[in-house]
Amino acid sequence: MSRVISFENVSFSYGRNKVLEDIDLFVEKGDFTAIVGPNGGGKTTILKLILGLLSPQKGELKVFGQSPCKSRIRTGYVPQFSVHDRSFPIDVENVVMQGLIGNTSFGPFYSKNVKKKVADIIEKLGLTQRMKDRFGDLSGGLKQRTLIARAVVSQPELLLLDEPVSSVDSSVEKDVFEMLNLLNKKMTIVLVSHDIGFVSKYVNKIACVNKTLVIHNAGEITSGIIEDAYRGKQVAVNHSCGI
Amino acid sequence: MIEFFEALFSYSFLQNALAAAFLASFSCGIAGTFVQINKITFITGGIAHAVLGGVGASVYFGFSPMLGAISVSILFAVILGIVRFKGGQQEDTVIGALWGCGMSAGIIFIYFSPGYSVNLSNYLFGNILLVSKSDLTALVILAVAVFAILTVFYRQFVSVSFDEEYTELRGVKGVSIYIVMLIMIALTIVVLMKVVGLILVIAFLSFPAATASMFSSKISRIIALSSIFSFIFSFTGLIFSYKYNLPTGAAITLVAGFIYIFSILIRYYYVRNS
Repeated sequence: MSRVISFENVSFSYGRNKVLEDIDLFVEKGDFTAIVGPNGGGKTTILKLILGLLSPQKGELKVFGQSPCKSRIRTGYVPQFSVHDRSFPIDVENVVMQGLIGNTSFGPFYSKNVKKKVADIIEKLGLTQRMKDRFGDLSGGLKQRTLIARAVVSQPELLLLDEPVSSVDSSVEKDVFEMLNLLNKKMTIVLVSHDIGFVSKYVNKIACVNKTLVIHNAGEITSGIIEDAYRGKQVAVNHSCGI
Repeated sequence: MIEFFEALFSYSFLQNALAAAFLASFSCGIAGTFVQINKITFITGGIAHAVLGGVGASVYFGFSPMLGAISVSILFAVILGIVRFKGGQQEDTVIGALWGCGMSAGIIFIYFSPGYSVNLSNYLFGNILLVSKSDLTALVILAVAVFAILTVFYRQFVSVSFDEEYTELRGVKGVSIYIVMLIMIALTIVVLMKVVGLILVIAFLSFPAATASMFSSKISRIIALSSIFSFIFSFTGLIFSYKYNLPTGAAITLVAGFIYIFSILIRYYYVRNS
């Protein structure tokens, strides 16, 4: 297995406020890792460090063996959809095309090749009917699908998601995780979530972060006699990271 | 109305005015749409008012005011683009400072330039009826530049406007694209200076795009529609201005404002009944 992400003794502060302290985190190829923890515990900061939007004050951080800024083109990112202006005049197709903006040249139109890739991914994620709908008018679940489509259209090797199910109902939540499970066959996934119960059914590693970081192997904890349905609770109970 | 068209055929100043209105509407539709979707009216206002500094300096040192306006507007577009990304919380303060200092410098320069005090109002409020042949040449060059920038960077502009962080993550230099977009807006401001004046630029950039976005949710269509609206506004304003001897910039802006408010009412009525 090759290593996709490695944090060694990484610390990060916003001004005087220390958010992460000496954390070690290793993610291998094919892993499906969830980063869980309380608000302000440093979850999103870890994603931003992996993307190279922030740089650590201390420690070493490598993504695909390179600095995060260099490797970001191999990474797909799904931000929280609430960051986008709801009145922005853009349709689903054009949001997904943004995923390929770095690979295309200048000029007013996208190439046929780009349009085909976008149409394929839109079909795979079941958004064909909504292709021409305004992004801001979609429901939370469909917005999330659109942003996932935008992130995977460039066929990244690593997919990062920030609270992918934070404001959708539980049936959509299941839907999103089933979709990620399929994507996990092709790419390494790291997601940030506040909901440890649902997450632990699908992921193989859980990283609990609250300034410091503890990694749990979801498989070990839930193996044996514990029923699938109770896995979530068991993982939560077995955690000793104070959340 | 008929007398206006008769006059249009006989007076070259009216023909120039109409040509200027056409060029301004074309640029205004493009730049106004990006001001609207990025919600950067304040930055646009800052550049527009600060441009007076460039105009004043050119008048004082004896250069072409148009050249001064173009250089200062581009300079401020670059500064504000950088501040937007690197300035953090200071952005508003910097815009306010450039807005006030640029304008004050312009007023002082013009104050010390003998014989130019009357012309100050032409820059502040515009006078489309005074557009000369050489002004028209400059307006054509600026409008072509605005269109060329849009054609080359259209997709990048849309991407950076919707989600600048994501654009950056895809390997596109977001700051540079943002600055190029501000330069496009800055050049449009210089064109509009001739038509509605620096003070009314914000209004004239906002109304057509705001009206157009009620009728479409596709950026390319909003650009086309706001160019058309913009031309209707300036043409109607020009007729009123000619017929009742009104200041042109103010007449054009008021027409734009009325049609905008009227569109809101129609839309409200339509939404309520459907």
